[in-house]
Order: sequence, then C-alpha cells, then structure tokens
Amino acid sequence: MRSATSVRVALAALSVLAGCGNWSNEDIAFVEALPTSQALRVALPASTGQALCAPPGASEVWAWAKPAGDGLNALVDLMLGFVDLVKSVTPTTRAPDGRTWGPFDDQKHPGKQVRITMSRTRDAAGVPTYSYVFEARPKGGAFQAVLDGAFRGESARAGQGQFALHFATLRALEMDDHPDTDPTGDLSVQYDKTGDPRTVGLDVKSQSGSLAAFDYGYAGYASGHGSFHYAFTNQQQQQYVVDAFFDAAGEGRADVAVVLGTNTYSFSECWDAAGCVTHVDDEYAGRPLFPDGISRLCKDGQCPKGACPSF
Amino acid sequence: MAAIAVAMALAAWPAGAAERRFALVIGEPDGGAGTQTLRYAERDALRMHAVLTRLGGVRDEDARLLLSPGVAELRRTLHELAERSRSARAQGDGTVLLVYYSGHAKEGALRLRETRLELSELKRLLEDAPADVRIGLLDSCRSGAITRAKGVRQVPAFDVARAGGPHGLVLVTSSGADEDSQESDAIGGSFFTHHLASGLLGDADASGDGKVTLAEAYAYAYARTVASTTDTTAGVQHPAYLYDLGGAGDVVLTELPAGAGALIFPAAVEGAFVVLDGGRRAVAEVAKAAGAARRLALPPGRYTVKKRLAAGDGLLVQDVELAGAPVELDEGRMRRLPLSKDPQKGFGGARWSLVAGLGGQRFFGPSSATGLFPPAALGGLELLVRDDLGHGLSWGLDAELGGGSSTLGFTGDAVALRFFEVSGGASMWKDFQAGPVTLSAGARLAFLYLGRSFPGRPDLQSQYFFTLTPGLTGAAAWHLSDRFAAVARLRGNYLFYNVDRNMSLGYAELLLGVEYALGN
Repeated sequence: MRSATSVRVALAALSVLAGCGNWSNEDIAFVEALPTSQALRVALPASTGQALCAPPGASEVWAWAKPAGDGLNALVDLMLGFVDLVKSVTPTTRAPDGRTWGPFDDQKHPGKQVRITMSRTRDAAGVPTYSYVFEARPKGGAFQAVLDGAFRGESARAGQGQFALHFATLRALEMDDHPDTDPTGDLSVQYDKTGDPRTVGLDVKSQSGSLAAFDYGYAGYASGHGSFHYAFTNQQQQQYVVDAFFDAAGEGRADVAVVLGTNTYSFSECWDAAGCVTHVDDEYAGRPLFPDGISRLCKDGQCPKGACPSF
Repeated sequence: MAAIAVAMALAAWPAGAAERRFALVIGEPDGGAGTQTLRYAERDALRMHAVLTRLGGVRDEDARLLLSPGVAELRRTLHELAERSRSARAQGDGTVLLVYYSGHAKEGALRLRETRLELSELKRLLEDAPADVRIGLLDSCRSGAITRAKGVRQVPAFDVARAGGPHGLVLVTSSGADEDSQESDAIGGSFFTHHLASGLLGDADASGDGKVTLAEAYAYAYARTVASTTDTTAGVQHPAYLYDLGGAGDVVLTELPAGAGALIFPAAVEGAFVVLDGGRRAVAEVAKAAGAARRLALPPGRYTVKKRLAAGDGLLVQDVELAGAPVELDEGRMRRLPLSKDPQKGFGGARWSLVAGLGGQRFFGPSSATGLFPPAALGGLELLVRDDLGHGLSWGLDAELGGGSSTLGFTGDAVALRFFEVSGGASMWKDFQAGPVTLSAGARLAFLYLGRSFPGRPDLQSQYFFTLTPGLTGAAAWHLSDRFAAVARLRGNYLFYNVDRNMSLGYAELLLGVEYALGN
C-alpha cells in the first residue's frame, strides 16, 4: 500500500517535470527512411531534347528520354506528396519501434482522412528495415492502403527500398487527381542507394490510356553519367525497348528495338553534348516505323554512318 | 582588583618633546604539531598593527608586521627594532618598544610553526631591549605563565618614584598561566585582542581625555574579556599582567584625534554596542552607561552599529558612513531587527548583485553519445539577492541563452543541425565565507526551452522541447574588490526526457563570469 502510494507520488512528481515537444532523433530516423526525390528522381543532362541541331538534326531517341524521365518524375512526385505530408507534421503516437501520423483530414481531398504507420524491425546484424503504409478512407469508413513500402539500410542515404502505389485504390477513394492518364494498376518502384550507381526501377501495369505496361530502369552514377532502360507496350501491343547511356556532359548512345508484329527493327543512335546526332546505325533507315508515327529524321545517306562509340 | 591596581599604578605619560615608538606585531596561526590552526591570529595582528600605526604614535617605518614568521625572523626583527631604539635614545629621544603576539603558546614557549621561543627568553629580550618602556602584549594560551618567570619583579602598585617619564617593562597576557585563550567566530578574532583593540579605539578612555593609557586599555580588556568568556565552553579567560615600570606618568597607547573622523556615542546613549566593518566583522565594542559621551576613532569607511536589546526584543542597527569628521550615533534612527538578522552573524540585509558569465553545457550519459542533446555554449545573466532569507541564505533568478551546431549520429549519415536554448531559473542557496571567497551551495529549478533546425534540409521539421529541470547549484566567488568578484558557477540538473522514450538525463553547466554588487 505504502509502496503504491510512493509510486503514485513519484509519478506525480515526474508528471510535473514531464517535458513537451517533438525533439526526437528517432522521428528523424523514421522519416529519413522514406523515399526522397533525391533518391528517386531521374537526373538527365540538361541538353536533353532541347538542341537546335544542323542536319541531320537532334537525336529523337535522346529526346524521348526527357518525357520518359518527366513521366517517372511525375509519378515520383505523387509518391513524395504523401512523404511530404508525413514530414510536415509531428507523429501522433510514438512507440520504441513505431510511429503513427494521423488519422487527419486530407486537405487536398475533402471528406477523406489519411493515416500513416511506420514500423521498424532489425535483422540479426542489427540492420533496420522500416516498413510503412499510407492509408486513406472516407470519413467514418475503413482505411485502405494506397501506398506501402519498405526501406532497409543502416542509413537513410545508403539503403534499398521499394514501394507500391495502388492507383485502383486511389481511384476507388476518388483521390486520384489524374484519373484519365494515371495507370489503373499498381506502380511499383524499387531503388537502391547502397552503391554507385544508384538505381531506380519502375513497373506499371495499366489497363487505361495508351500504355498497357511500362517498365523503366535508371542508373545514375555519382560521376554524372548514367543509363536508362525502358520498355513499354502500347495498347496496340507494339513493344518498344530502349537502352540508353549518357555521360555527364550529355553525350550518349541509344540502342532501340521495336517489335511490330513478328518483326523486330533495331537501330542505334549517338548524339553529342548538344543532343545532336553524330552517328546512326540503322539497317532500316529511311523507312517509317509504321504505325507508331515515329518519324526518322536521319534518312539513309544523311547521317554519318558507323558504329556508335561505347559508353 | 589586579586591573585596578595597574590602572592606579600607571598615570599619564608626561608630555615629552621627542618620543619614538617601535612596534613588532606578530600573527602566527600555525603552532606546529599538536595544535589547531588559529583562524584569526593574523587578523588580530593586522588589527593591532592598524591601531598602533594610526593612533598609537608608531610611524610606519618603525612598525614591523610579521605574519606567520619563524622564531629566527622574530628574533632578527626584534633585534633590528632594538637597534633603531638604541639610535633614537642616543639622539635623546624617549623610546617605547611594543611587541604584540597572537598565536599559540604551549609549555612555556611561543609556538611559531615548528619553532619555539621560550617565554623566559622573550622576557629577557624585552628586558634587555634599549628602550625606555618595553611592552609585551601576548594573546596566546597559557601566556600568563610569562608573568611567573624569574627575572622580572612584580613591583608595588604605587611605584612611581622615578622621574623623567615612565620606564621599565610591562607584560600583558590574554589568559592566565593555566587558561586557554579563545577565539570567537562571532567577533572574528580572539576575545582579548578584540577587546584590547576596541579599548584602544576609544572605548577604554574612561577619563574621557581623548587618550587611552596602558592602564585604561588593560583594565578595559580585562573586564571585557572576562565578561565575554564567562559562558564559553572553554571557560572564563582572565588576562594577566606583570610590570616593572618606574618613573612618572603612564604610557599613552593611543590618542584619539579630536578633529578626525570618529563615531561618537552621545552621553545619553547606554548599552552594549558592536561596530562592524564593511565585511561584517567586529572592529570595536562599546559598553557604556548614560552620562558621558564615548568616542571611537575609526578610520573612514562604512560601518554598521548594532545594539542588542533585552531578550526577545531583537536588535537595533544603523549603518554609518565615516569620513573626515565625527559622526554621532542617533539611537532614534536605528532600525529594529530580529535576532535572526543579526549583521554580526553575517546578515547584512539583502545585498543585490548581478552576475554575467559565459560557459557551456554538457549532457552526460547516453543522450550525449547519440547526439540527442549536444554540448552547447552558454551566456547568462543572474540577479542575486544575498542574505535576503536570513544569514547566508540567498536566492537568485537567472536567464541563459545558448546554442551550437552538431550532426545527428545516424550511421553513415550526417544530418547537420543548429540548435538554441533559453533557460530561466530560480535558485536558493547557502553562502559560506572562506577568506576572500564566498562558496555557495543550493538548489535550483529552471525552465528549459530547446529548439533545433536542420540547415539544408527544409524537408525536416524543426523540433523543440521544453521542461522544468530541478537541480543543484554551487558557486565560488572570489572578491576582487568591494563591488567586483570573479565567479565560477557549476550547476547539475535533472531532465526528464519523454519524447522518444522516457529517460532520466543529467546535464551540467559551468559559467565563468563577474559579479557586480549593486547599491551601497
């Protein structure tokens, strides 16, 4: 009895001394495990697609990279919107290996509430894995996961992560801001910051728009050069596969394969730092790549021939 | 009776055309093995040296102050003064050689650290000294033994046969041959020297002629010392004397200059008064009855006069500023205080001061290793109110501003941060005086607010934390002057951190600064 009283007195004394605030290293550790734009964004040389070139003109393939990168970055921005939401507010609850934000009203989507939950586990070597799930619901409804992912690594700047954005759920919750163009399926992203290059992979399965599937891979080196690979299949079931390499100055090379029906056409292009074609190796030069509408500026006889340099 | 006998024996020193006085003043707190260090022996010596050179007719060049000397230095200095006296006599001057000693004596010898000077030798040295009057004033335990030694005759009380002024030897001791001489923390000195000095400043001037004779001084010191030690645990202390003094007149030890600064106790005033200097140390006492004014010849300065009232009535206190002219005590203007605020016991009323300091703060324990609370630079201001809660009990308010930069300790990462902190506290503490240093120890309750941001990382939210932190505080203030002191303050605080998880943390703050005393 006396002991219980002493405990109560001690607790009362401590409550007087209890602090207030959000001063927390652990909060930083948790939010640092979330993807950042620095980790995910495609960084292409500035010359991409903007040069005014003398004949034979600008590299079309290189010019494709920019919209492709922009498209990826747009999806990343969507993801980062959720992340920014987390970073802008203090966790609602804290546990030794967990944080919860919300539920709170989504200012961007009235009538909806969001909640973010993060947890942390460690493997035998003590390397932490942070798992997170962003959930949303109509007020009073049940939460549904719109984004979930995980990050494994000793530090925020050196680890591997993956996440998936569930467009079908976003649409169902009427929280998809671009329902006409956004994929209908899941957007899966994998990224690896453990070494050089850092890599980002993106895979979309869609039943809407002009794409049926999109697969994108990007590798960026600390030195500034990099590569990207993307393959997409449009609604006409025509598959395009692009493997491109570029250096920090913007010079690069792309190997393109186009599958039309049972035929595969391939060509290679090289471009200089201004994005202007320097070499073409195209066995089908001069013929339009019907029916995708891609027009080849570098007709046979107009382009310097020869093998592109390797990167 | 002995005092009365001496008083009657020593009449006034006749007016002489030329007189040289020499004084050897010794203070030795260390009596060597088997003795306790005396707290006030040196202060006693300083007081006597000041009185003798200011009022006792001893020129500065004829006074020697020895603090903690050995016997060899004592002998050498005494010999030097004796030679100077010899020279003066050769020129026809009358001479007085006075030796004052405050320190240990044991087993028939003065104890100066590990060296000894036998009392018999001291007597012999004084007897042989070439001065018309040799006076020994010994404030030490069992010093009365010197009056029993061979070689000095105790003369009749009325032996004033020799003409041409007084001549001979006088020994005055603070205690009997088998008594201890006692010190008092309340008066900040030994009882005997305190009363002797008080008498020499004027309270012993029973005749009211502005001169304190050896007889008056002894009679006064005897009576006051006996009265003061009646209730002490060591027992009553009886000063003793021995003299071999001939000639006409008495030896005037101090003269109280009429026109100079002095504290006047009017005729109507009666009671026991204590005069304290600016350091709250007793410099004089006055015990007087109504009917005659009393004059204390004090040097310029600020004093506090205290009068103790009947039991339960507390004290009357007045602050007095002495300059070049006499100041009369006005009992009607004295303010009444409870005994708990006795200035003689260190209570001087609230004394306000400001402290400004710079230093640092460091958390200890795991919180510092993880970078949760990195070390900070601090600057602070503190308002101190000393003695406001009673003798030595003080309080203060403080405010600090600090900050720094650091990085969070994630493996492989360096998340840079800048932080600041503001704190304000209230403290209560007890002051302890140790010479020129005031030591303080007490408790403090502070409010602490910390904020931090992450430069280059706008995506990371700024953070803050605030709480109350109880702790302990200590300080050492080295008094450089009346107003300034160098201060080192150390605080240890408890902090209950409860954001990531509940943790009991501690942090220390060290501030070095300057204290400035406000007011008078």
